[in-house]
This record gives sequence, C-alpha cells and structure tokens, in this order.
Amino acid sequence: MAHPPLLTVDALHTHFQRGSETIYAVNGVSFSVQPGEAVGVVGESGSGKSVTMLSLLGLVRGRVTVRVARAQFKTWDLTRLSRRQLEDVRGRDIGVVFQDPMTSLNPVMRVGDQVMEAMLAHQYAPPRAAFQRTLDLFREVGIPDGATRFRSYPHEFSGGMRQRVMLAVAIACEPELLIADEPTTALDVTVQMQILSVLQALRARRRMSVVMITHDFGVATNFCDRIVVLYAGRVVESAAVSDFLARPAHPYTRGLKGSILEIGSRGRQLNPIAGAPPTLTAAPSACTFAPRCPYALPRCDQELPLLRPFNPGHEVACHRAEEVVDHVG
Amino acid sequence: MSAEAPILSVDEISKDFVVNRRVLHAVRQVSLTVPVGRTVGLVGESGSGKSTVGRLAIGLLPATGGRVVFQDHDLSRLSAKAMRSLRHAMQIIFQDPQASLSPRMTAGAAVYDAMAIHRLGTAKERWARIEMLWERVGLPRSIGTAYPFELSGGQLQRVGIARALALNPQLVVCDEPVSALDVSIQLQIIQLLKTLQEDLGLSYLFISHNLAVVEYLSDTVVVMYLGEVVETAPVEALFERPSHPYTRLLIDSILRVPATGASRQPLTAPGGEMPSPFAPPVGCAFHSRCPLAVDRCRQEVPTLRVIDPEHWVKCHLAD
Repeated sequence: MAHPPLLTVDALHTHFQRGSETIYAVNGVSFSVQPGEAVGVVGESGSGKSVTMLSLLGLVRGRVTVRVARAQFKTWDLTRLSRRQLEDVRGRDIGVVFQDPMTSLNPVMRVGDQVMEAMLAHQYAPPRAAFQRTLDLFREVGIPDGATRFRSYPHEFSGGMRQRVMLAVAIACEPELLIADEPTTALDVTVQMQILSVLQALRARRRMSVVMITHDFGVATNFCDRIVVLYAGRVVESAAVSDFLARPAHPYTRGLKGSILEIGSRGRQLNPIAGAPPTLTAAPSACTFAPRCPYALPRCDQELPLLRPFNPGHEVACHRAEEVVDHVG
Repeated sequence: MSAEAPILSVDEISKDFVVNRRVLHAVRQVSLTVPVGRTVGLVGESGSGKSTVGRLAIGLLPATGGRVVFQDHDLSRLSAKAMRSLRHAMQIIFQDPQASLSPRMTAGAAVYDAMAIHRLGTAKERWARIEMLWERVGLPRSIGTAYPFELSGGQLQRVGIARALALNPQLVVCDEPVSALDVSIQLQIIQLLKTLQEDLGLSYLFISHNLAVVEYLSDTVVVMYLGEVVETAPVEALFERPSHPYTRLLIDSILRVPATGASRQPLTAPGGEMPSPFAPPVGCAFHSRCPLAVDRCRQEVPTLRVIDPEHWVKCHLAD
C-alpha cells in the first residue's frame, strides 16, 4: 500500500464489570482505515461496533477495562495520550457524530455558538473567522439561511436539521477522520438520503476518511468502500464492498444478508438466522457463531477461528470459509 | 374483496391537538377499511399522523371529527361501559415493548394482569392460557418468571404479542412492532405475526415507516403525508405503479443492498424538508417538496380520486 493507514487498531479488548459479572464486549478487534477511505463497521446490537469506537476515543465510562496492542492515528499512539491530549485530538483531528443529535447538542446554546465553540476550543480559528466559517459550514451541510439559523436552538430544528448541525460541529476543524455512529438511524428515509448525500459530498471535497458504524447493510454497502462485520465483539469478516457483495465468506454475513427484507420479498420464504447472539459473559474460546451456524463442525465448538486472509484484501474468521463459499457459490 | 363487512372502518376521521395554544391538525379526514382477516399497512414519515390514526382506530384517542366503526359499533357513540367490554377485541402492540411492560412485573404477571383486568376466566384458566400463549409466540415456559430487564428485545416483543393475544382480539394495531429490533430478529417477529394471522384469523392495522416490511405483510397500503392520505391501493399496485410523487420519493429513498459494487445507488436526494404541521402548505400539502409541482398544485387542494380499481391518489397530475 502506498500510504500508511490513517488509523490502525490491533487487538482491542473492552470488558465491562457489571456486578460480579464481566461483560466481554470487545474481544480482539483489529482493523485499519486508509486515508480517504470509508469503512462500514456493521453488526447487530451487542456486536461491539459502538463500544469499539468509543473505547478508541476514550469515551467508555464506568467499571471498564480497555486493552489494545496498538491504536495508532496518524503519528499518535492513542494509548499513550493523556486525557487532555485525547480530547484535543477528538473534535480536531477526529470528528464524531452520534445517532441522536438531541443528546449530543447542548439544548440551551444557540446552534451557531456550538459550531463556533468547536473551533474556539481547539484554537482552530479566532472568533471573527470562526463566525464566518460557521456560516460557510451551514451552507456546506445544507442548512439554508445560516445567518438566521445561527441564532436558533436545537429544539427549533427537525431531526434532520439537527443532524446537519452535528455534522457541522464534527467537521468544523477539518478532521481527517469522521466517526459516524448510526448517523441516520433515527431519521426518516428521505432525510437519511439527504444526510448521506451531504456526507458523501464532504468526503469527496475534503478527502476525509469515514468510519460509519451501522446496523444497516443498505447504508453501509451504498456509502462505504470497505465493510467490517462484527459479531459478539469480534471481526468475523472484512472486505472491499465489491468482494463483500459478490462473495461473502462468513456464514453469519451470509445469514445477515439473507435476513434483509427488501421490496419485492412478498410471498417469499423468510430465512431468519435461528437463535440469538451470545450473552458475552465469558471470553470467547471457540467460534461464537457456531451455535447458530448451519455449517458448524465439532472443531468450531472447540477452536477460536482467527481473522485470516481469504482473498487479497478479504479476511474472514471462519474455519470453513472456503467450503462455505464453494458450497453455495 | 369479499362481501363480508369489514372489521374496521374509519370514516373521514380527524384529530386536532392543541399545542401551546396553536391547533395542530394531526389527522385530516382519513378513511380506511380493514377487511376481516386482512392486513392494512399504514406508512408515512414521522409527523405524518400514522400512529395517531392507529390510536383513533381502536378508541384510545377520541376523534375530533368523523367516525370509527368496529364490527357494528360506532366507537364515538359507545358508553364507557360498552367500550370497556369491546376493548379486549381491539389490541395494540408497540415499537418499544420494554416501555409498555412494567419493570416490576414478571412476563407471566403482565399477561395475567391483562386477563384479570378484563375478567377473562378463572385464575387457573388464566395460568393455563399463559402456558399456551408462550408456546404460541415461541417462548419457553420459563419466560413466565423473568422480568423485562432479563429479556432481549425480540423476547420482549414476543411477550407484548402474547399479552395482546391473551384477550382473544380480533383486530390488532401493530405500531412499528419491529423497528427497534435487529434484522435477524425482525424476520422472526414478522414470521410470527403472519403465522398468528393465519392461525387465528386476526386482522391487522400495521403501522410502519419500513416499506419492505409493509409490502411483505399487507394486502392494502395507505400512504400518509402531513395528516392526510395521499395514496391507497392494493399492495401489488402500490409498489408496481406508485402514482403519488411522495410514494415514489419514499420508495426511491430506500437503500437496497446492491447485487454488485458496480450497481450501487447514487446518494442524491431532492432538497426540501417536511413543512411544519402547524402551517401546512396551501394547495397540495406536498407541493413544497414535489419535483413535478405546477402552479395548480400551489393553489388548489387535490381530491383523493380513483385512478384504477381500489387505487386512489391525491394528486392533480396522477393518471
């Protein structure tokens, strides 16, 4: 690869203490993000997709243990940064957008001031320039009549407009990486399309990398260059979107793809994946998908499958990936 | 469609809310009928009024105008007592089963309670019925002693369904019952709802913003925008020949998983925001977002008119 990755994460573990129990939320997640690349981190609830990102950003709270072999963003080792330094990287070099803008925006602060504050806090621009830039940002994310809207409060905005404000805050200091955690999940489909088209334009214009955390394969496959699938706190598959679509190799990925109800499914037999995800109260020592897997062999209940190369640029954590793909094509 | 009288007919129903001394016309002259044993899908975005219609349809909210007839009963004319005796026949399941179950009650107690309130059977009969219901909704018997916090989203929704079924309903309003669930669990619940309908002859008013789910389950689809019905048709006609520009916008906005990397959808969206429901546009309510709007649309309110058998559209330009 010509460029070094922008972000490299190697063997991330995040465990929560709940009473006397340990919840093994993330169990050795590794991935990287190239400059300008959009990576879709896909999984169901409890897969660890959000916790992975929150752990890297130092945003997990409570009785929690985070261990990672390597977490490098540009030249920084994220594990060696102080809380202050990490706060500075977050918001300046890494922008973050969450699912629910209402809980991330300050309800008693004018939206324009919130965008300005992002720039002032990171000494990105002096006040006068920050004000002008806020108006430019509003235009860029599609908030019409910015000079008037600057003075509005979040509750005066619709869900879609609030998410645009969040985007303006996140990209205010021109981050090289934007982490978007289910940014359109709470929005209506027509608004989702608007936000994704704004995001795509931003990506193209700024050569910004995006990590899109989503449970929605439609969003991930249409927006991202590469897909990373998480199950029970582990990466089970990682591939360029074209390989992911043409030859998904992990039985879970295949099952999940087959579970998506799309227009035109009427009258068709549904094939939901049987059972439910594991409870995460023990560290994985075998394939965590085996109990639900139609291809499972005794080996799968004994031996933890590691993420391994399957094809160039395509990795999978399944003992039987080759047979699975040959069997079903 | 059969000649049998529909189980539910909603006739020109309206609902106004007063919010901060301003009147919000949340639902404006909506009509729909649910035939016995069928499913009517009600779709629209947030603020379209679809959930309000669901609540009006089973008398959980009083209407401002129009009427709801369930079987032969005009709900607005029923006494409180008569309404109570009818209520068991009209049940509702919600998007968030956690919020609709008491955190201090076991799953078994929640279902028992529903039957006790409606004085259905003896205590012994109720517990026997609960055992039967767990099996019906695909839960193990041990679920009865579990508290909501111990259950997954899919299990909670099954408990919610069991509680609705406990009262032997004939009509069930399903208000976004799978929207909060993971995709693999969504399919399990959809399958369950379909099986229950076939086995028990239930009629559904199925409210969702998810068009694929609505297409899968519904016989007829009603599309709402800003409190009004803009299109209604048998399910095949609606998806094969969507005739209102808003219906088309909704369908085109769905991101499908493409077959190959080369067939990805362009991420472009027409501008325009949902107008304030306090001040809907004059003329056609959709004209401010409509790519086809002409002068007439900005002045004259279109009427809901028939363009094909049972296919109604509220648009000047549809044909």
